[in-house]
Amino acid sequence: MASKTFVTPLVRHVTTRGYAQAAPALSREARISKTILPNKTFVAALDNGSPVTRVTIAFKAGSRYEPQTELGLAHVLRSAAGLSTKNSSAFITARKLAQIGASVSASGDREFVYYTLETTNDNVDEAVSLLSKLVSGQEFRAWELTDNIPRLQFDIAALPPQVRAVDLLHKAAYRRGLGNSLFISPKKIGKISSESLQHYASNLLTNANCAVAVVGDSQERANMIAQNLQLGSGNFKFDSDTKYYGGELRKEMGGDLAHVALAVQGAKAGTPQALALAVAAKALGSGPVTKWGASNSPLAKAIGNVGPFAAAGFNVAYSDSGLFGVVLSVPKDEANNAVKICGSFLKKASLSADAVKAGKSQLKVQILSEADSGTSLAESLAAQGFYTGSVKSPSEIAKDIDALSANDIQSALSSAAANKISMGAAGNLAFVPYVDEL
Amino acid sequence: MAFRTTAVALNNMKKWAYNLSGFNKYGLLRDDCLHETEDVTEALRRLPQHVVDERNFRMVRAMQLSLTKTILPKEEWTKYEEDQLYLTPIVEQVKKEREERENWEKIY
Repeated sequence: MASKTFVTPLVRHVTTRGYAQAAPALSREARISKTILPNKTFVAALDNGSPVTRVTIAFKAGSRYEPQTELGLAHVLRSAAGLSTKNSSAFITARKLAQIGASVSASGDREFVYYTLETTNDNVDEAVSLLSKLVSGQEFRAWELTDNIPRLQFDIAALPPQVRAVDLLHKAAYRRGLGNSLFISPKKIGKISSESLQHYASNLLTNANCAVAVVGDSQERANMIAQNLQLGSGNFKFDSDTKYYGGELRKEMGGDLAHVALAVQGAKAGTPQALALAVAAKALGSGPVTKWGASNSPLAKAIGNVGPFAAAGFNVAYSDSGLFGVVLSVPKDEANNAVKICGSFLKKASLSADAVKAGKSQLKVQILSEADSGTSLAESLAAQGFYTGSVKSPSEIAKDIDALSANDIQSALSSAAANKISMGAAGNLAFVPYVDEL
Repeated sequence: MAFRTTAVALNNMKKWAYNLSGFNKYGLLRDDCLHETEDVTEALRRLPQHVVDERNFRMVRAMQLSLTKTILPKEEWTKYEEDQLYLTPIVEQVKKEREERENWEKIY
């Protein structure tokens, strides 16, 4: 008897060791591929052998496509994900997804709306069919939209003031189109009708406006997913040239802090300039790297010791424009000085070689570690497809970052700095200077 | 021919039964007389507000008429041909959804 108890753990130990040794066989070189289907849907796949498959179905239906009379449509659209569609009811979609442990999330930015599915490899078939039922044939039943109002209200109430500042910055910089807020205005909640949503969806959720990205499965699977989507075939042409106006918008909200976003016009997505500006934004600083530590970035050093504050470089790139600048949260009494320093950084437009080097490394780490959480990778593949019509794996992007010379970054910075500064500010603005005082 | 005759006869009979039931003399529609079960309450919630308002008006008017032991003048009675089912299709849908839910809960 005694010998038996002794033996069992030994056997178990051997078997577990055996499995552990088998594991490395899974890690292989990730293959990335893309294609464009005859119906103009962009399809990309990154087969990295991950046990979890992520599928993103993205549409060019972000807030920039909202008509000025119906602002907030995009927000309602993404919060209406999972309601009853032509093909299945909200209840059964949710329960079936839960039963196989899959999850679907809808997120969006100014240009795109992403429906992203996460599931284990063995349940891909069922989960994908549920996702495609959820995405295609959306009906936006009026009473379900009414029931959804608290969710919108929560979204608005939970907005951090920094996000409001960046939103105001976009509005000031572009006015319309890209300037449309990502979020519905509180006064419009409940006023967006089912009909206008249906109109918006039938114009924009179409094959030609769609990109499908799969992480953790093959290109063939991705093609199949894209082909099985039952979408409209309309070809909605959106013709508006994005113009950078520049300006400022302030929202006085009280409190102890001032949140300010300053920016100049950056570069289009997919261009080397956009990558250079992303490096420059990282080089300006992105907060302390150790908990409670001091920030060693050029921005933080220039602002100095003014109590608790946060300052970070900021760069976004859209299909036809971009913004490069600084986001700052600072105690209200120090706002005047700190905002002026940030403004002078944007005007001066030069960075030391050391800062650029640190910025490159930080950006690489950010891109590669975001790629490790496959959800954001799938979404970024879809976005890349829309922007450039091709996809680059994170390691290729990292190589591109390495290839950037100090000169590239300097020239991108100085061409950005030639533009007028825009500003969005929220919080306690008592001592925040106006943009012409910078 | 036989089919047509049957259909006409059936329709006439429906009309006769409709007039016999009497609610049309109070200006009510068939769907106003549905017993308010949970399904019907849910269906009412899904109607556009103006339809619910019209329904409430008809019901209040009918109660008023009943209290005063009168009926509407004959030209204001609801006609069988004009009686649209505005609620029944939604009730059917609600019922289907409820059954779907109950079936799911039976299995899992």
